[in-house]
Amino acid sequence: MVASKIGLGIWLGVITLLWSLHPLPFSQARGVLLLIALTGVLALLGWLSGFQPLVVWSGGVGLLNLTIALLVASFPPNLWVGLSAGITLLALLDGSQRFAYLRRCQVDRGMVAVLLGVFVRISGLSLATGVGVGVLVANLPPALARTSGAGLLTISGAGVFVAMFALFLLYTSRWAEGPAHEGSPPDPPPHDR
Amino acid sequence: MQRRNAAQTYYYFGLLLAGVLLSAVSRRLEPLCAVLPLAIALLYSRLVRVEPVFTLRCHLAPLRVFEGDPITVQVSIQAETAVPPTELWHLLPPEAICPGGGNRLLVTLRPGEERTFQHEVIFPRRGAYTLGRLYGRVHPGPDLQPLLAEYHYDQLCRVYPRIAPLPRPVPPLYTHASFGNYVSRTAGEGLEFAGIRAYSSGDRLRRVHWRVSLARQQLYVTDYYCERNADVVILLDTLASVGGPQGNTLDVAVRAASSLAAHYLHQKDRVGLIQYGGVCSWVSPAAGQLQLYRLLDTLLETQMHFSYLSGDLSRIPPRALPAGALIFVVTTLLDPRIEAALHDLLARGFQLVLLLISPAQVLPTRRRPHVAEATTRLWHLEMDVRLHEFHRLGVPVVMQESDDPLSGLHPGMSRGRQWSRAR
Repeated sequence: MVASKIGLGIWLGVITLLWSLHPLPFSQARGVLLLIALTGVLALLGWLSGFQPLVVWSGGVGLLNLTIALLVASFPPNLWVGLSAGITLLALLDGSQRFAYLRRCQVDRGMVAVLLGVFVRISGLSLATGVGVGVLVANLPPALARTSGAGLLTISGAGVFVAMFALFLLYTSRWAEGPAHEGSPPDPPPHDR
Repeated sequence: MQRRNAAQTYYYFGLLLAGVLLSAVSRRLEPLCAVLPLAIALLYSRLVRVEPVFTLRCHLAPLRVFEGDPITVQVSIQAETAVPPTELWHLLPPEAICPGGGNRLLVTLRPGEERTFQHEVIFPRRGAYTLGRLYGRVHPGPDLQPLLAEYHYDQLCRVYPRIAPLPRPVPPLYTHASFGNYVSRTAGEGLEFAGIRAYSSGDRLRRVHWRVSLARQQLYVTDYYCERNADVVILLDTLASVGGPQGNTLDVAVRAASSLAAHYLHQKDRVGLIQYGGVCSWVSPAAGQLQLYRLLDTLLETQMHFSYLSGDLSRIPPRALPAGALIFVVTTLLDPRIEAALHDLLARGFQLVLLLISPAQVLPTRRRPHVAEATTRLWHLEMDVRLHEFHRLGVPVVMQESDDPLSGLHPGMSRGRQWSRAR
């Protein structure tokens, strides 16, 4: 139990450092450095206090920082930069949530391996999907990318994607409200996290 | 089981939205790739739908304990299908202490596997507590749509006030003929051997001492000392209480009352209880183990209820307050209404022992020794003034000087001429 806690603590520390320092190879502008510090502090505070919104804020700030750093440095498009940042971000968010369980609960043997298994599975799926998206984007006809309506098409495509995704989540959330097996649906415990 | 969206779902979707927006605005692929794992996690949590089937049982033992004694809680889980990481939380009352924090478990099981987990719960304060309420939270996949369930194996645990053994017996002044542990100086019905004397008319045949009779060729009978016991009534002042939930004078008074009751019931005396508050309630004196639990059950629910009324002791029936009873008054004397009741009892010829619970022992100033010392001295000064009348009437007064309110009981009662039996 103690070893699991120490192990996951070290893992979270490394991931926090990686996530906050991710934009550094692309730009070392003062604004980028400031956002790096803010990202790290937010993640650290969220991790230590167990307050998940701080970690999410750190994720948002880091994402913005990475985009700014890439834009400032005019770095050529690179699929692996995005995917590695994404897996680090997932590890940060998922790890801090798992650490909250480890901190509060008595953990059964082999549990850490099970929790890491889920993370590895999602990371693998993300890599596969990322490569697929990369291949799709690379094979787009260059003439289409240079048209004047490409920007509008990208923004409307992103909007449609987000809207469809949100609709899917809303629809599947209705599944979540299915009938309970034992009487009325349980209310969250009074001392819940 | 009920599937619920975790707060993490909204966080992930928010970041996904931010990533798509940044990607569209900056016309770069990297922000979209950075939020791709979050989108995959969201889809994974919706598409991988696990419905584990397991049976849960909860067993608690013992259901009657004293303060500070552990209650063992056994949670058994038997899986019919594979159970993903599942959090089992035995919800405890705020007063409970769980050493080692074993009331929250994170387990995973294979199909057909059965596991039993055990943890201990300690209650430092008396009361009736309901235990056995379990919350289950199954985390399939990335824990974005956990399955929640609530299991009620409610069992009422009674936590009785702690009983402190009295270091030395404190026999009552007046006793009456009944079965008990006190031995009279006169012969009569009893078990304690008094002597052998010649048979006289009216002696019972079963008392004949055959060995001596055969040796002396004359009938001799065995004499026994008469057995006696006493009526002891504990008058608990519930008019006022000082302190917080962690420690207050009423709790200390209840512990003292339960210790006195256990001691005198062990001596085969008849023990009764009167709760003196705005409204008086009582338990008539009786002997035996059943009476101990009757008294403990009553003491369990003792609370201070503020009232402008003052109880009238004259309304208490004689069976609850028998003549000649030894009355232990457990009080803080913070409410002056108790003094009127004490004068009433003294006027009716009862023998009283005043057990004063010190508020200084429960106040949070104990961390600052000089404040605690000043409080104690002030309390002693005030009590000296108020107890002058009782000292003059020869009422033994035991003041609490330490955490144990009964530590000064024997010296306090054996002082003076009245209580020669206790010396």
